[in-house]
Amino acid sequence: MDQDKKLIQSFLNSTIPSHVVEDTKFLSIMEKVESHQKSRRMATMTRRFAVPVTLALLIFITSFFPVFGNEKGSLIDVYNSYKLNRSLDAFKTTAIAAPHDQSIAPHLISSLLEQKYGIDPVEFLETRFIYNIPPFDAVFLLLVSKEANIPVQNLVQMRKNRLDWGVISRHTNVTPYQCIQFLQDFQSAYQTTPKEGFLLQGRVRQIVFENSSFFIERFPYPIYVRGETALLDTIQIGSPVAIKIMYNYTEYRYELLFIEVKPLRPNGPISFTGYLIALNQDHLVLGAKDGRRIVLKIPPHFSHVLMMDSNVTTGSLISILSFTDRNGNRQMIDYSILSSSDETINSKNPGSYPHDVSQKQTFDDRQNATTNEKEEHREKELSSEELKNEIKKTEEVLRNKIHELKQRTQRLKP
Amino acid sequence: MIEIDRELLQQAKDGDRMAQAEVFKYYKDYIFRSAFFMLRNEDEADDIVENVFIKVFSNFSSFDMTRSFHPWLSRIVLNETRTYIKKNRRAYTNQDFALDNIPSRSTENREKAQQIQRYMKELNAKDREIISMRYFQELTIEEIARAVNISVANAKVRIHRATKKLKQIIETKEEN
Repeated sequence: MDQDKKLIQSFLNSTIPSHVVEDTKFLSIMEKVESHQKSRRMATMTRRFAVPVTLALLIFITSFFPVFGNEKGSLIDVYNSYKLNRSLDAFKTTAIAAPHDQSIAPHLISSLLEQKYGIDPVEFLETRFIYNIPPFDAVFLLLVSKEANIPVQNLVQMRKNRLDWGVISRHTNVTPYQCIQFLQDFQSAYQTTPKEGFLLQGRVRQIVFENSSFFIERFPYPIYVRGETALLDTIQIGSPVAIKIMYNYTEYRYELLFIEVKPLRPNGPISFTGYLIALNQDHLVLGAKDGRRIVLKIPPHFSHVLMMDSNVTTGSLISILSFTDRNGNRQMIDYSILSSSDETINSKNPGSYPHDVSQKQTFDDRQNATTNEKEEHREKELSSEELKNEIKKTEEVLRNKIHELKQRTQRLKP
Repeated sequence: MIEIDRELLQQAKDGDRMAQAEVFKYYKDYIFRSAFFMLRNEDEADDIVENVFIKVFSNFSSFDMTRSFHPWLSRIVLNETRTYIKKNRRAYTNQDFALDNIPSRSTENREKAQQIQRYMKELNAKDREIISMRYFQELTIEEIARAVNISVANAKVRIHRATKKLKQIIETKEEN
């Protein structure tokens, strides 16, 4: 092996020229080394001082000046927006998945806002329906508005102006940490609310004595009475009640914790049933059975839905869910068609109302009207004869308008 | 090759100019031979010597004195040569082992050298790297494996194959 190695080495050496690298080369090498080290030192100095200084300057400028535009604000705002949006997304995802049924989420939120934060459920309804904001975003807006002590509509306006949450947080002096804390608190309370109990208000829709349960308006599930079934004797269909219920996770049902027969909130969600007298983009006039004429405001995002619905015509029997806003306007939340105008005209008894509820609500509204003067201005009482005449007049006007339109189109034809 | 005195190396590392000159004197021809074997060009090999020493003296502080100096230097030579070849790739693909580059003074020597060059053509760049490290720089198999970044077993195989080719070249040369 060694011989092999020596043989190969001697062969290889024979292929290499007898060249000698001059010793003087060392000096030129050292010069280059020095210049190399000098430039390296310079680079190190730059890295050590210039880069951090530039970076600090950049961070300083971007942190305090709205370099990302008026909507996004400064670097701090952008970071806060990012943090808040993440928390809000996480909150929505978790909260939406929390209760066993999404249809009860608005009830839970309303109850929680009222009990824990002292926020009027009507504010929640306003935020949701007038500004057309999803429930959990509405919760966040309400919590921030309460902390900042500014009206929700200002916050909504800021969002409409495309301001990011970081900028809003700076304007409202509510720190992102506080906002995140609100969300976390609300979320944990929201998850335990079905078990601990939540408040509901509405009229009794149905009583089932066989299984000691009853239904109330706008709540889709039966509410079971445990133990004291005599409680059912204190209520009757149409009674306005305030109840506290809880979800029994072992029996998969809602159970009554507390019940009190008391008038519904004057501004809370109330449903009206009546014939449609008039409709335009902003308002709707309903003629109730007792002859009252009820004027309801239509939220902007809702008007086109109503206008496009072919079943919504003058004379249709409609049930409308509404609440009274801060300005005293009765705002429509939802509607359902009970019968179209054709059915109403052709029926033997066109003036009959399928729901006894309307009568009860009228009674209740009358009670409320005594406390709320604004209601008096809006609800003008009409007799049923007058109502029928009103409907006929409206139909007549509509027929005339259709006739006019037909004539115009004929004239326009070549 | 016998390793340079550790004390002298330490002094060179500390920035002693005389010690650095000694290190240069000790290794310059060794680096030249290795570079020439791979590049087959005197001027280019000279350039490599310069570049290698610039790297060595600039980065002496990063050298771990508890380790052997020789493999560290060999690694620098290998990297510098590879970088040089990469930079001048076109030139190398077109005139790899160009006969004009043969360093010889007399006609007889020149003919002999040309013949060697032709034999050498049979060795590819990787074989030449391995042979240079094994027979010029006299690195161990483990050191070669570490320098080329391959496993010891793979290094063994490559050394064996390259040596076999080289032996064939030597035999052919002797027959001629």
